[in-house]
Amino acid sequence: MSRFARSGVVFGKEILEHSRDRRALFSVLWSSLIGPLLIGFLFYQIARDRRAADDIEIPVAGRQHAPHLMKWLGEQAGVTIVDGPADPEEAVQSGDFDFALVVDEAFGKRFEQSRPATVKLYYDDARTRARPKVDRIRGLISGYSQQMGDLRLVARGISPQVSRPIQLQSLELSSAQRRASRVLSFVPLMLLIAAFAAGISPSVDATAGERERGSLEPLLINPVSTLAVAAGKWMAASVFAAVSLSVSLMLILGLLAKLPLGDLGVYFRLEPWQVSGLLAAALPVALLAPAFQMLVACYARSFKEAQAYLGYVMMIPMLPTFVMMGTGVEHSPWMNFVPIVAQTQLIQSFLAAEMPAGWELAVSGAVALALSLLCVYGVASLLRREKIVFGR
Amino acid sequence: MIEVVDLKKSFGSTTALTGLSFQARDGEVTGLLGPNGAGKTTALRILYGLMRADGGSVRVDTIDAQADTAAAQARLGALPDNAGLYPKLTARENIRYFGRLQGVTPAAIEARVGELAPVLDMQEIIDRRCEGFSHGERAKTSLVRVLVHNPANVLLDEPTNGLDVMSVRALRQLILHLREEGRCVVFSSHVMQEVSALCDRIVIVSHGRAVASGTPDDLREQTGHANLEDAFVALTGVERRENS
Repeated sequence: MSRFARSGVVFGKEILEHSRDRRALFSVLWSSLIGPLLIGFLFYQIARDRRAADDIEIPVAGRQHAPHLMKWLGEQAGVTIVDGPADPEEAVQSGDFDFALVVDEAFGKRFEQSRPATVKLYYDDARTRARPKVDRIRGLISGYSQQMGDLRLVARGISPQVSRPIQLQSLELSSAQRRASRVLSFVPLMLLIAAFAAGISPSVDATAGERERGSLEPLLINPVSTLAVAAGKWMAASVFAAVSLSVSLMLILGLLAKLPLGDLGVYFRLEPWQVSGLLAAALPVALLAPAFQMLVACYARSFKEAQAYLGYVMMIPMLPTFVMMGTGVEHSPWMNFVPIVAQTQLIQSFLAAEMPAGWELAVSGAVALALSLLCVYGVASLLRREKIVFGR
Repeated sequence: MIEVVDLKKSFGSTTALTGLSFQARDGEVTGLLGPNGAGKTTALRILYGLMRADGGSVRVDTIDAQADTAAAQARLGALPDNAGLYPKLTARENIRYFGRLQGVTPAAIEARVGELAPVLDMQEIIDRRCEGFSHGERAKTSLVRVLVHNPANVLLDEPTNGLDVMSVRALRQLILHLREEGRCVVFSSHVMQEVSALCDRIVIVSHGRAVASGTPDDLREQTGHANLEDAFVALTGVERRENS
């Protein structure tokens, strides 16, 4: 029987065994759900905060000093004016209010004299939840201020344009879909987590588990090369990682298609080519994750020991994705040669509806496959070591 | 047929084998008898190809087991001490797995299971998952698993360890059955009674080499002791009687 056929025998047995293992099945389930759940939750929060900013209740102390401003504010959509606290500084610091407006006593007088009249806005920048509201109040007040200024100039026979030597126009150059991809930047991380988390159980069982049970020694007494054994086990673990990753991706995409992203100022459209592109970009991770995990778990004598090792080590391959997610690192060609970084970049591109070059897909997939095979080869040579086979 | 010549192996500063030689013939049961730590397990591990010897040679049916490990393994059915099963698989699936790895066809595997299961009285457990198995049931499953490819040579490392009386009887039956089929059976033990009850030839191993070998009668004659146990003690220099 060929080495390939024997790998197939190992593969078949591993699939049968893991599919009966509740621990393995459960980890596939939760690891594929964690991404969609988290993304759904985060979008829900963003939407809620936005809604909260549209509907705004502004506490104002001293509103009697600026009746016209109050009337104008009250006419803006969703804005309600309420009486502010007596001591706004204390009220915001203590958390009773997220923010408060205070109209200066001299507001009316200074306004009539065309001198800057003061309105104070108390807020705590650490309270991120209140930020959209604070931004909106700022916008409202400066809008009013500009209107009044323009009227004053017109009353003096001067065009309001004279007071604006420079007009700064901020033009967002990144496309709407780019912005969407920034919001969606943690999709790659979620897919990595899906593959790595689902790979743990079968990978550890195939190595440290065999050692712990004492089944490795009898297995290797069969006339089968350790490479065939390692390859069969790796392919089986990869199936689990790939299923988890694909299910996770499909659920996330389904969720994104259903969510009213347009309402959030995010343009996201999904074409079929993006779906297959995302799969092609991400699936090499499902080969790499179990290969890497098996190699690490080979050094462990027991399931628990292996899980502890993997707990530390799993952070390493995920680190670059974390960084790329937080800072929006510019893509560059060398990244295609770095596994995980390459996949993260490609997933980001496809989500942003940008088609990466064919060579990028090919190179990143080939590098991931090569590294996986290297890990499998490492596992095979470890399985030939007397210390690993007999060291229980 | 198994031939071990001048086998040497050390682990760091510990010497496990210091030039072990013995022969095991077809149609005979050969017992490797010796105290714990004498080197029996190490010798068997080298025989079934998972350890490299520092010196000496091992031949399985004239195949050099160190040079052509896979070919030797195909002619061996080796049961290591405390062999583990796959708990999520049934006894039959465990056996089938090793059969397939040995290159046996599915039909031949089923036939072999049908032949061996009654000998070991395991028809009731054959399609049960191994996770709840008793020690004896696990041992029987492991045994059939290494015999599934009909090996001409059978190596059993301390096969009776921790087995109850009924299982030991079943195992004894199987060993005799294998001998009748003309196979070469080697089993290691540190229990005198077991070896003397079953073996045609006994190799007494002490400090990494064979200190004596022959039929039980030969050994009695060599040492001048009428009692085999006294002969064993005299040969190995073990003061205290070993027991399981």
